[in-house]
Amino acid sequence: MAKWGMVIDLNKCTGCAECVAACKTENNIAIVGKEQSEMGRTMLWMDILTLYEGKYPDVKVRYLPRPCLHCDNPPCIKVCPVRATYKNEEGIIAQVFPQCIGCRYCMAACPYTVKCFNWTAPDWPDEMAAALNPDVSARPAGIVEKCTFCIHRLQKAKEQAAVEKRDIRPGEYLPACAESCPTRAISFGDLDDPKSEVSGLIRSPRMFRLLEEIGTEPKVYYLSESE
Amino acid sequence: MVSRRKFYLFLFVFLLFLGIVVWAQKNFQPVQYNHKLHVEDAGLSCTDCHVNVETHERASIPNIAVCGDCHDDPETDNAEIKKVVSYVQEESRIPWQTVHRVRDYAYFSHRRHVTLGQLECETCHGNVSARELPFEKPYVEINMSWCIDCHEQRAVTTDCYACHR
Amino acid sequence: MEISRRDFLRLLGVTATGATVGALGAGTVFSIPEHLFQRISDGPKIESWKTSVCSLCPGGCGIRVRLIDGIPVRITGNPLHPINRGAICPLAEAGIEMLYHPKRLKNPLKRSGARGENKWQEISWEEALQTVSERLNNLFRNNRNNAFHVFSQNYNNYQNYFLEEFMFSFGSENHHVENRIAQWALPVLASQGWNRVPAYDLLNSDCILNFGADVLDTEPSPVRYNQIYGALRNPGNNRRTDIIHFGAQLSRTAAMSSQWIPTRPGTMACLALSIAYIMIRDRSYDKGFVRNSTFGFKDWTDSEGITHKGFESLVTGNYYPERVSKICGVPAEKIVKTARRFAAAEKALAFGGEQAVNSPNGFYTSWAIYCLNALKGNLDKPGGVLFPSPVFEPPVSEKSPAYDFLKRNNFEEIIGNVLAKKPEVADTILFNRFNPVFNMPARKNWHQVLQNIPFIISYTSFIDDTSRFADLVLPAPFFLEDLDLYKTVPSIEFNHLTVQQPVVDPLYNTRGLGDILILLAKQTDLNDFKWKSYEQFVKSNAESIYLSGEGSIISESTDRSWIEFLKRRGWQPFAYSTFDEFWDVLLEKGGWWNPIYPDGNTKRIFRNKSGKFEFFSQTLYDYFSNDKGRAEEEFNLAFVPHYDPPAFLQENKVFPYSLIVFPQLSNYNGTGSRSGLVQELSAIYSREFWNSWVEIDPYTAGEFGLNDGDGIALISATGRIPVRVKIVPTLMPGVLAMPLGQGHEIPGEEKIGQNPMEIVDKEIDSVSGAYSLISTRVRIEKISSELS
Repeated sequence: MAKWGMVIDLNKCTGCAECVAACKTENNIAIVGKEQSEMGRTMLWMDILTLYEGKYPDVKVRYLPRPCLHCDNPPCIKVCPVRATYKNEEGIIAQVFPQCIGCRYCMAACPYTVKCFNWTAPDWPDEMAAALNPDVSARPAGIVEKCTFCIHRLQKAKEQAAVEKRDIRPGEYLPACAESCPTRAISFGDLDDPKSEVSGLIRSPRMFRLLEEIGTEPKVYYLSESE
Repeated sequence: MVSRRKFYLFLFVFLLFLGIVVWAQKNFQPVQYNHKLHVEDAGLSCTDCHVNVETHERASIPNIAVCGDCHDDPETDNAEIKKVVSYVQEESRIPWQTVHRVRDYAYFSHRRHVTLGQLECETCHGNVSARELPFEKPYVEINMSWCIDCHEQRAVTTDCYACHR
Repeated sequence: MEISRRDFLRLLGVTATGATVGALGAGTVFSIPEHLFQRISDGPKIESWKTSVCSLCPGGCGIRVRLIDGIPVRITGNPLHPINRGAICPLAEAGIEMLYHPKRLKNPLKRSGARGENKWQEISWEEALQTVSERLNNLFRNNRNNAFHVFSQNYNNYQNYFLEEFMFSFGSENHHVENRIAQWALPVLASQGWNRVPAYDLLNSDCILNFGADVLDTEPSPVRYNQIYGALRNPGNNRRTDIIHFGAQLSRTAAMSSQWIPTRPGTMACLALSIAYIMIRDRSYDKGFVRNSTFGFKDWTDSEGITHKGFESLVTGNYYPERVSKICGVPAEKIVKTARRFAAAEKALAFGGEQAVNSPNGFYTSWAIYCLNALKGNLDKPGGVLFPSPVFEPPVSEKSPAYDFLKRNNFEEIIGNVLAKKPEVADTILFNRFNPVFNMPARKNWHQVLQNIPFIISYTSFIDDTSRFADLVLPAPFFLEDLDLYKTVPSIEFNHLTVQQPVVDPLYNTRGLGDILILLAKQTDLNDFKWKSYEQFVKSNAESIYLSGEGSIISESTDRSWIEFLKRRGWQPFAYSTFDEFWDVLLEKGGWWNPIYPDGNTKRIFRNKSGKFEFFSQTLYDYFSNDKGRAEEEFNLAFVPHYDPPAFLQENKVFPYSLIVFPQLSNYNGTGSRSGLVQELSAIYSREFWNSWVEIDPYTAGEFGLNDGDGIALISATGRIPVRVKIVPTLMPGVLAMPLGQGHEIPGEEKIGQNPMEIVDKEIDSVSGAYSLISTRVRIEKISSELS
């Protein structure tokens, strides 16, 4: 059984936000509009955190892409009263949309603020209704959603591999962000496979994880910038 | 007296309503398609018309491209075949109503069930070969417990993320 | 890196605004529009892919469009395409949303209200084209062919060539192509007579000096430059390239460099020449190259016996670091250190961009920067400046006035003439997907100009700031619906061609520009305009490549080394028996390229009189020789690179601060503003979604007692705009920075954010005609209201 994980190399990341855009279009993430957006309700499964270090003129800007970190010890699943969010066998933190009752406990529990709440029903122009990604459901108002590691792509990849009677090949299943990153800063693969690219990368001395001290054991790893 | 008149009025409205329902049901699908005829007389198998059933997510409901292969002759007594031929000749799609529908938050793939799971069509769609009229409602009410029952019986994964998305 | 939970909340914007419950109609909970549920109910849901090219910016990225049952649902990068290698940018992702945008123009429109009122009446194509051809015929009969002007944006597409041919047949010289990177080409023209943007071999360089080129966010090809910067920062390739970025703002490009050296806007020429000063003083320049292959380095005497100062004495006499340090705000020791690092590097190059060269002294700045490459002797060498030979451009490109870099940006002259009420100058103007009212300074001027023009036609997919003043609007298909070819993107080191294949039939009653021109040519009896259809033109250009047998169609198995290997042995990667076969494969793969660099002949890069690199430009001298007054007055300086202190740097009590405007990747030129995706993403760094902001340094913010999100009014000599404040430590004190792309003004539509061009001073570079983006002086007023 694979254990899916992601490594983001901040040395290669230029902060271009293509991962954010790819995520939004791939997953039919709602455009909330100006009014909602000003209330802090912009929905981004993948976000980019901009951090300033130092004082002018010796200042550094860091861009840090942040999907759901798919923690091995996730605080969010413990508070869900209906098991709408849980950890599956392959380590992906699932968010089962029709199961969610929208209590938002998990949003409060997540230390990384990765979850978004649908305050209103999604609204696309009629012209666009046929052009949403048919592989991903459109979420109704009143539920919590977040990065799924593009689970719909895994479902298809597994099926294809099964038809061809083989295992999933490395790189066959990639979330949209990893697939479209211009600089290939985002790597994705099986952490349990010692030969995979990600297993190699997380042995790097540059490896760190966000808020390591709280023991959430994220499966999204970062490689820090070399000075 | 008044009540009797009322009764007739009610009866009239009721019959009218019934008539509309029957008419609507008869016209639910644009053509009164006969599966039995195609299977028994024409010797077709399911995959001859539902071409994608073994290879794709959707089985595909045949439309003019498939029907037109045989039905191109307008010289016929059968009113239903005439309809089909006129669709073919006008190159307009036959507006079939989809009956077996899975909600968009579940991933249902025919290939996964037919090619990998080796399920027969009858398991979900009933004995289609014996049908003389097209589908107006699904053979079974498709809901999650029905899916899960079958998955458990056959020891297939019941992880939510195997299907939900 | 230290990040706390609090940081996450702050970055999410939660603590700032507080996510409040309420204000929610019960009806909206658990409801989802029925049509979204229904959308996938029909159809076999068969997936297919088609290649094309993204034309939302001039970057020329090859794309693959995912179609479900023939309906485009997502744009991804074409993994085979050598420009972007499978990646794209956020703006391209928004292409789908814009294809289906409800505000797309569906029919030709005739103005029904007053000009600019945005009131229209739908008409047929026949009527629209009839109107245009009547006007053109009228001009033709009265020998006023030149009163027909066309303004086009330059997206490296072949439609502009086609338009050029039409104008040629019609007999008008007034096809004006906006070229935002003319400043990249001009110094090469001045020094070498080479009339193209050169290529920079960044990937093989050890030390790169970047003077204000925000290449990760804008021209020439942002996705490619993102990939290059990402690769340069990856220590996996055994050596780390030093990228030193000069600019007033720590832009994203600067943040990705090894070092950012804050430099006052408008002083980059001075800085570059100071680096030259150190190289000359240290005698660390390429002495062999300078001695053998340059002209005007030492003092020299012309045929009339007049002695001219050479580059060496001009530089050593003026640009010593202590003096330059005061002008540029860069410590002298940093200049010395940078110069020595540059000189010591085995392979090094210098290039400049928007924040340096879009300035009133922009041409000379660009030239001064370019001269560092000559001192380094890196021309036509790996890791230096490369000169791929332009190939397969239609013959019209040679004879066309619109492709003469020195004449190119003569917008100002036209505007001046129109304002002076010379009706013979302009009678009919066609704006070909070009929006000067939004993108150029001096908007009030443009409003006046447009009022004075008898007839305005706009060819566009959406009503924009310019087309709302039109009398006739012709709806353009979106790029996913239109056929075209894209030529080699400037500054890319290999030749390539990308096919813009229509991936979907036009959704509305739109027509391609080529087919419109063919109909117009018929209706105006242009007999020498020989094309039958635009497809024929496209195919004939593709055929010339097929017949040449050069390069190869991009494919999985053709990387550069493989093609070079085959070529050396006289083989061709692929052979196609017919052109149709070639064309089908071209459509399937998406493009063609020729990765072979024509090296080994340095002479070909000097196309001027002396056959050398000219520090004193004889090309310019000849060009301006008719213009004697100017030539005598500035004789010593006009033909050599130098620093000309711009007026805006003078002490200014009324407007104490400098305003620079900067581009954003996700909203090139404002093309993406209509997309909700762009609106909820381009402000990801400042969190001011659906809005604009002005960046301000903490010291200046402190003086005014400003906090993040406070409102200020920015006031310049030309106008005033209210905008929100974002305090960042990434700016030189006293400099404010505002993003471009927001603030479209169209009656009947909500204005989102503010357009900084409203207050940007109209300053023009006298040589190139390019407008300045860094020379505006402003003052600040704190305001509390009038911000949405």
